[in-house]
Amino acid sequence: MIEVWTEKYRPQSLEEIQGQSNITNRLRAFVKSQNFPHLLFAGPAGVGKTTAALAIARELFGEHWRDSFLELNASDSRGIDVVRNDVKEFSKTKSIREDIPFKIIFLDEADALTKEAQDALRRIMEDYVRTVRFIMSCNYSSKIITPIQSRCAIFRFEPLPKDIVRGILIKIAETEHFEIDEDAFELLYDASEGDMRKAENLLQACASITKKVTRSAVSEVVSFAEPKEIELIVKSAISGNFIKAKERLNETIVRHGLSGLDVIKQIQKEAWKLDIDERHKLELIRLCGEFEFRMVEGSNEFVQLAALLAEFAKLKK
Amino acid sequence: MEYWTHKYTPKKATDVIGQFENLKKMYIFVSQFPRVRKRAILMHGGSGVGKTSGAYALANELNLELVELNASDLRNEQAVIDVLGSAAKQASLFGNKKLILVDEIDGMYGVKDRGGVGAVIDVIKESKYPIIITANNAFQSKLKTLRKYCDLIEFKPIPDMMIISRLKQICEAEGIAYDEAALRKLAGSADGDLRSAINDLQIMSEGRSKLTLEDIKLWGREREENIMNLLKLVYKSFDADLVLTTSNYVSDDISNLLLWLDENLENEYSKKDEISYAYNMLAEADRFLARIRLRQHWRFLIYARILSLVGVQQAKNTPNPKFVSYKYPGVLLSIFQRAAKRKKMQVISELATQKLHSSVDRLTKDFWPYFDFIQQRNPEYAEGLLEYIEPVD
Repeated sequence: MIEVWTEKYRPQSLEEIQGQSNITNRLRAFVKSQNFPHLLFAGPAGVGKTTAALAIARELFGEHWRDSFLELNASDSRGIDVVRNDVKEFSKTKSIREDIPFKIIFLDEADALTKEAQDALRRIMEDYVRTVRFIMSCNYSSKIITPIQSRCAIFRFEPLPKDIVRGILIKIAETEHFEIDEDAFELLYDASEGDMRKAENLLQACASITKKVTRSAVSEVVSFAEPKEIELIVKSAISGNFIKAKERLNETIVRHGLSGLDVIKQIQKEAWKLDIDERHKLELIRLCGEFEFRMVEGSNEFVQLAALLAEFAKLKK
Repeated sequence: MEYWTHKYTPKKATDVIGQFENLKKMYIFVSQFPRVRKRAILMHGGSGVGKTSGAYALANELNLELVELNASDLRNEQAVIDVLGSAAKQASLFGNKKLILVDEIDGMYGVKDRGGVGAVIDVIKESKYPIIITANNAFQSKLKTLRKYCDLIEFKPIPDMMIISRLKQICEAEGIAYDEAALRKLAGSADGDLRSAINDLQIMSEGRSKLTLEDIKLWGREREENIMNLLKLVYKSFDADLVLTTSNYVSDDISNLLLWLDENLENEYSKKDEISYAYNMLAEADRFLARIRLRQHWRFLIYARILSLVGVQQAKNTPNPKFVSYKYPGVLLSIFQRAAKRKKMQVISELATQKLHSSVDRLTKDFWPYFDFIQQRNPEYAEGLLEYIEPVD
């Protein structure tokens, strides 16, 4: 068995979390007083939001922390049903502990909840405040309705600075007995943009093939894991080469097991990045929207995507 | 164009060809209800032998209001209760009696129709009106309980002689001359299925005043050949009516037809405006298919057919003069491959979300791409990671 590094090297306590000391200091005070309000963690991916929530639970509840902790991923189970069923069910039952009268619900990626679900959640936050505390995480606090925001203490997590990412990665390299070149580290940092999870996954992939991680090893992983396929598809299409674009498209879909919606999302992003005049770009975006709508309506993804590319190709003068 | 199967459908019980005894039983059942041994009839037998049209003819003759639930309806437990439950208990709006028809009950299956058969049984127990059920195969295990509540009536294939005489009547009514041998050939290949024989007759006599044996022989019924012919007509000709008529004989369903048209399009058309026009039409046709699924409004089918077939046909400026050998749609294959891959990812992903404290979405972006890399370059290492995610205990 080989541990996934993001778990193996996940800090177990608030004290171990690096780069967010303003936040962790206050959180530790909460834990010490054995009481705190609902919490909202906002900030980019891979900077310690989930880790902080898990650490709070561990420090507060000790060995049997899992009995008093419910972790839900809003983006997997979005919607009002989850709030009404799982969340409410867990909130209703009292804590079994004498010392701490509440349990914790950690709602990860809470900005993925629909507005209706957030409204329902708000009610539960009010009604069960004696038995449950919510910790919610999100990338953008603006996607959380204000009534919820106003019921939470909000903590804004910052992207991790370069020297902290470096320190963590070097520590991992020591423990795992391999070396990282300095310029390999530079590329690692640029590719992960301060996202520790991404940096660790990237590094583990490199280390799986070599004991000496060089810049070229990192770039090999990066180009594999973040393929330019969709970009190439879009570029073929707008240069008028429909046949090439469609061939690549079908290949990509099958190779990665993508859904039509995955693909059109990326096509739209790539289209926006193209170096063409704005009106042309607007037309491409409008087409993406139209075809995405058709797929949501239940149309066949292959037929619709092919038609979208044909439209792209037609725009070429 | 009116379908002859519709135009010449039996109006009363005695019009139903070759099933005299069965219609008599049905007549007695309906007119004596509820003083009957079993409270429902289960008619079974192959297609086109008069099960459904028998029920219609009876309802028409006895002036009964026909309440029908067929394969085009959603037929899960709740839907059956909603549609049939109330009809079975309430008096008819116009005061006449009702006949309840559950068509093709063996076509109820899958998650969507869950509990449907059980609900039909409940309706039978309480119904104030006679219920007639049809099935191609009444002896499937899922109909075991239902059989206890029904009188079974078997509809046998219709003898060739009877089919021939019916075809003759129709030819005469339509003013079409015929060789006896031609009708014999038609009836012979129908295998006791009167509906398909009448359909074939209509197709064959379209644009002809006389039907000869040669005409019939020339007409291949091979599916593959038909779809190839159809594709050829679409890509090479401009005759819209011909394409639509020919498509009637292709047994592939329309969504597969779209994939065939898509797969072979770029080998026939090469100009950008042709391709774009054709895809535009295919995509529009496809939208109507989605709307059919959404609304169960089967009229949309005609739009899907015309837009796809004629749309692709009229996209070209001039036909490609070269012979093109048509390919089986690769998409059909890739859909299976992709589905298998997604399914596998789904299962592992769900385990991984707990273990790695991340959502499926996040893992798709931040974990699986790196895992795929490891799997390709160092399979053993990847194996080790999988054991961590999915412990073998």
